[in-house]
Amino acid sequence: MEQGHALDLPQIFGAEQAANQRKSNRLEEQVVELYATMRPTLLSYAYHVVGSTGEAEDLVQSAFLKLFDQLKRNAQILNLRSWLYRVVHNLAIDQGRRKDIQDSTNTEWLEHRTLTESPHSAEDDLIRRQRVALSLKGLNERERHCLMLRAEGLSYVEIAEVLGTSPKAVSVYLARGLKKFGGAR
Amino acid sequence: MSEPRKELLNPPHLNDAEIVAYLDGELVRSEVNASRAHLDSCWSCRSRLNEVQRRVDCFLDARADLLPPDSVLAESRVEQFRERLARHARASEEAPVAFHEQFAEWWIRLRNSAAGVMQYRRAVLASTVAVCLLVVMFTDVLNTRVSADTVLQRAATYDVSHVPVTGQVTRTSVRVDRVDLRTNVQKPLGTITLVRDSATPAIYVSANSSSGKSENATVKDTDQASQQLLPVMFSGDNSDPALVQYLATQRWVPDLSVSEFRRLVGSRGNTETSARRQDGSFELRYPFAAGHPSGISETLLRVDARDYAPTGVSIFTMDENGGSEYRFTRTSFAFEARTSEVAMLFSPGLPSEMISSRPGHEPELSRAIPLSYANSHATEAEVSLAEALHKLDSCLGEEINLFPMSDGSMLVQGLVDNATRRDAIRRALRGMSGPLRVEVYIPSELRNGSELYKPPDQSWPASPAAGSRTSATLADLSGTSVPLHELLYDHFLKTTSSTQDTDKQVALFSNEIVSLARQTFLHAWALRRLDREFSADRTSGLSAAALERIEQMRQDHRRWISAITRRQSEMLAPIAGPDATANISAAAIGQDSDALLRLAQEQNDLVRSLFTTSQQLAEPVTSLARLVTVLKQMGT
Repeated sequence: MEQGHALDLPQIFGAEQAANQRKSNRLEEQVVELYATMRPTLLSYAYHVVGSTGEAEDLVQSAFLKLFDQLKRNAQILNLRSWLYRVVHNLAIDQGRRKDIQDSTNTEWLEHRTLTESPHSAEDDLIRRQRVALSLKGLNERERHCLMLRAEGLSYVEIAEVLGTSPKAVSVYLARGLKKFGGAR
Repeated sequence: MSEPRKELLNPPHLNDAEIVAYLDGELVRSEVNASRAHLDSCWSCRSRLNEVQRRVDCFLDARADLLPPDSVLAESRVEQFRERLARHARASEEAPVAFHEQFAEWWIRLRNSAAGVMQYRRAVLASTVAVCLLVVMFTDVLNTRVSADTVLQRAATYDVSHVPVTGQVTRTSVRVDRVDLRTNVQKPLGTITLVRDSATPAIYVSANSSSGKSENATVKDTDQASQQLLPVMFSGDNSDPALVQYLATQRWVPDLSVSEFRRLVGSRGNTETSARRQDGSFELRYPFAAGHPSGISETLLRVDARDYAPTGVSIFTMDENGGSEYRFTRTSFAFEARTSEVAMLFSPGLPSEMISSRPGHEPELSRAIPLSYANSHATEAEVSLAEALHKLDSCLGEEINLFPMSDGSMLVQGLVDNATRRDAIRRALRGMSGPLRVEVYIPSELRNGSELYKPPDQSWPASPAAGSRTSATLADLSGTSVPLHELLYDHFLKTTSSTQDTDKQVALFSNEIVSLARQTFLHAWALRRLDREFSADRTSGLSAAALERIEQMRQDHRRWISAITRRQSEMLAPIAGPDATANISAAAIGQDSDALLRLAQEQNDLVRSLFTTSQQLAEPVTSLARLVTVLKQMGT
């Protein structure tokens, strides 16, 4: 049993401030590095759930702050990737509930590109975007989340962990989601 | 010979989930082999496999469209996060560790060090639950310290959401008993039934007293309902004349609605109310002032704790014999279809004595009615609703109105093209705070327009969805008689090789101009509507945050207007030539949404007259110059 290790912790916290500081700094560096690597994919998932880049960015950062806290407490994280996605997912869902957002697909993207990009395609762009958003809306939340996570490259087991379901169910959600999506277009 | 196994002869097809899992390499080895063998031999499954793959491609394309714009700020984001993390780390070191964190830390430590204990997890969990239960039982955590007014407010919300909508009536049945508080003997007094109509304020009342007297009538409003019901109800019981007198003066109708309960306790004097929760319902106690002339000592409203439906009213009286409790219990409440038989109840063939009420007395409506903007103030709820509709682009020409109602609730009412749109709107408005009724119809549900209220501001221009004058969205290209056709044709001839291409270019160009012009007009219309709805008078009581949200909506429309009109200008400038644009003094129109709407209307009309054949124009070139000027003005 690893009792010895655990019992050492109070000493580290109490007496060896400097060593602790060094450890914390190293941990900070690791977390920042991880953030730089994982940010893009987590961000695009969070964006799809909350519908705005600002909030998505904030969610992802919050998830990494949580990660830092966990690692500092020597908590064990088995699969880092699905852990991060799960935290982002839960934060995003909470946020959505708080804001009573039911449809997350029709918010910021509307103004995002059409105003900043060349206005030539403004109308077309708008119409295409609306059509996509519409066909996504036919899917239920679970199906949408499964598809988005799968598109980020997560395995069924990982997706199941994030959403709290089983890998078999994931394959069913994916098939159903794809069918509805294909049918709507 | 033994019979061959069916599934070997004709192996089952793969289902969609299996195909997806197969493509994703998520099947276990044995399944993979079986699936592959089947796919090799089965055309239909292989074709479906390709179909699934096509859908995956499709989805990936679509997803790429919806991805957030690539941020050039990625680098700075990492830096910003580094600082945030450093701050976070410092804060977590400096701050005394919060109790729950400390607990979490110990919990993890305990778990890491003594994993063996975890086999008793169930026992630990069970004892924790037991302790929690004990705590709850002894500290009365669940006992509500909620105020009576809060519960009453929620019950009122319940009532508002249970008024009959078009095509329905509601039927409420109430049982009345008297309990002698000294002997505890219960004596039935009778039953009451009220049917409320959706189309008229009239109420059908029916009372049967246990003394054998009964009365059925359709009355004009709640006041008359009270006069009709009370004498019958108390005909067999004369123990409390003061009470009956009081109920008559208050014009109380025993339908157990919150509004009627408020009437009942309206003149009780200044007393403390209380609420408590018992057996799945709230009991709201409204004591009457001591020595109240009615003889009432207290009234009590029972409200179902699950949905806040009012279920019963008790009136307690005091006298030298000990007193009585008059108990009114709602035995049923139901929505019913307004069939022709039911409608007959409310038809004009009423006995005349029931229609003629006190002269000069305005009939009080039993239902909430929409208020005009002049008679109401904007609320935070209204801003939230407007914002939700704004996000759905419902403000752009859709015939949906937001009504502040006379009972303080909100009504969203309107007409949309199809059921998908209706559901999207309903979904978006679900979970909005505050009492709210959503009545969004599709054309087939509305037999005539009279079922919709008029917009809350009569001075509005007709909704752009209604008039056909502005609704053409495609240019008419059936002939060469479009006023500008020659000009356009010459213009595009320079850049294209064949006449077919030129025709196509002209068509595309005209279509885009017409649709942009309509967009501009719709945004200007929405902007002016916002100005009307949230005028300075109506928003005086709102918080700064709400005002900011309103301003945000206005800014959205302004941004769109300037972006679209700039695009229109760019498209038209080469056609109109340098002469037309030379001497334009773009007079600023500032914040005046009326002026903006007038300009938007003008440009839309001009575009329609220039790019469609609906009107013949004498001077197309002059009109074009005017159009360019208008657009320049709006683009600023």
